[in-house]
Amino acid sequence: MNNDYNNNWQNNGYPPASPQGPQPGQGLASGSLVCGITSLVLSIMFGWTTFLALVGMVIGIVGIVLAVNAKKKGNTTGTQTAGLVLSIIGACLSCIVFVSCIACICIGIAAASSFDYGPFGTASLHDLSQNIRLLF
Amino acid sequence: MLPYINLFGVDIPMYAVLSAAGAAAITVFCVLQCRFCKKTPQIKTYDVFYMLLYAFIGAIIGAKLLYLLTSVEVYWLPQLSFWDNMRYWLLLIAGGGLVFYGGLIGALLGALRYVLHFKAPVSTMLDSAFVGVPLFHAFGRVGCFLAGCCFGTEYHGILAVTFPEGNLGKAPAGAELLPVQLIEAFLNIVLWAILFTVYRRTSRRWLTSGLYLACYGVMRFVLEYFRGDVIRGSIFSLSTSQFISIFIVAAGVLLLIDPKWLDDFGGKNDSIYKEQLEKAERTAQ
Repeated sequence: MNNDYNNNWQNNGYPPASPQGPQPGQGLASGSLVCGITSLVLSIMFGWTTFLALVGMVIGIVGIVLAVNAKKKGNTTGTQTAGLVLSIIGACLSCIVFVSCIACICIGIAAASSFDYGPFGTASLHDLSQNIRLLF
Repeated sequence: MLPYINLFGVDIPMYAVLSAAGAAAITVFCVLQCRFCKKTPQIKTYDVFYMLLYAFIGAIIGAKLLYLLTSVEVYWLPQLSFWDNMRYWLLLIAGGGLVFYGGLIGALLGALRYVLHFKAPVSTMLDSAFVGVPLFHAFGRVGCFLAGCCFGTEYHGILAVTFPEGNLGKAPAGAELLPVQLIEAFLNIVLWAILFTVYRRTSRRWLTSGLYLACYGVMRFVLEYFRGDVIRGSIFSLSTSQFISIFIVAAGVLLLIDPKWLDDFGGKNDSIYKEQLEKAERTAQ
């Protein structure tokens, strides 16, 4: 009891610090966190119907793979968990745009009817190229 | 029907909402199934969760790839510049639709990648995942119905449905059609119930996987005759999905027969996985 009292007095009431080495897969966990944040920002900040949502989905997928690999290497830090959660959310938000029937954009492109260009219905080449440039 | 839902001032496509709901449903179901159904070897819930993540990634890529292969008529516009063609390709990838069989094959490859790379028990993990697949698919088919895609043939009996003008799935507006999407959703729920019952009561490897592939392949082959959307492509007077169904049914029958070579596939992973779990438990102690 006296030893405990002395130890606590010397540490100002805090428990003694334990040595902490680097966690395995820490780089992967950090990478997944960066990807998760980037994916979330891209899917939210730049709107629901822009091409950047597709980029956000790809980055979110990379973040998920990095987080899973970090966990399987034995990384159990909050970084890995946060990276996984943010990557999943970012990828899902981007995926909602990706999976949706963005044929609305395609319908907008199919202005005049001259040639059939598959999923975009009918559109003249001039209208198609003009509208593609406007979107990207 | 109901292509969009307005949430906080943003129009969100119902197909995407239901796909996300289906993904959440299969994840929750498979994790709970892993938690409460005792199998040998006993798999960890986080392994099931991560395998499903890999499967979803594979499903998106596979579904989009098969759509690009079967439903796009023009791949390159020679009169446009190179960069305009690149933008056209971005529109093809970001727009258009998805094909279920591409998603199924992609999901299977994604799940296989996970179990083989991380030495998880192959047959146990895939059997547990296949039980949940029809549940996810049922959600997706309801989403198809709301969007107006994958519509049925002309039909004038009871339960005939009509789609409004300008529907996203390009179903003929005002025409009475068979609600084949809802029929398939119902059949998928029935299949899910059957697979869950079989999974709980059997210890035979690959049984639920084979049963799903064989049953769904036959179901899809028959239902294709009642589909009215012909944009999916055709091979030897069969639709693309019917052609793929033949191989899916063959794979299912092969799994049901339970040949020895397949029993050995990934069999070493069972003992490796068990050793990894025991090692982790000893380290934790």
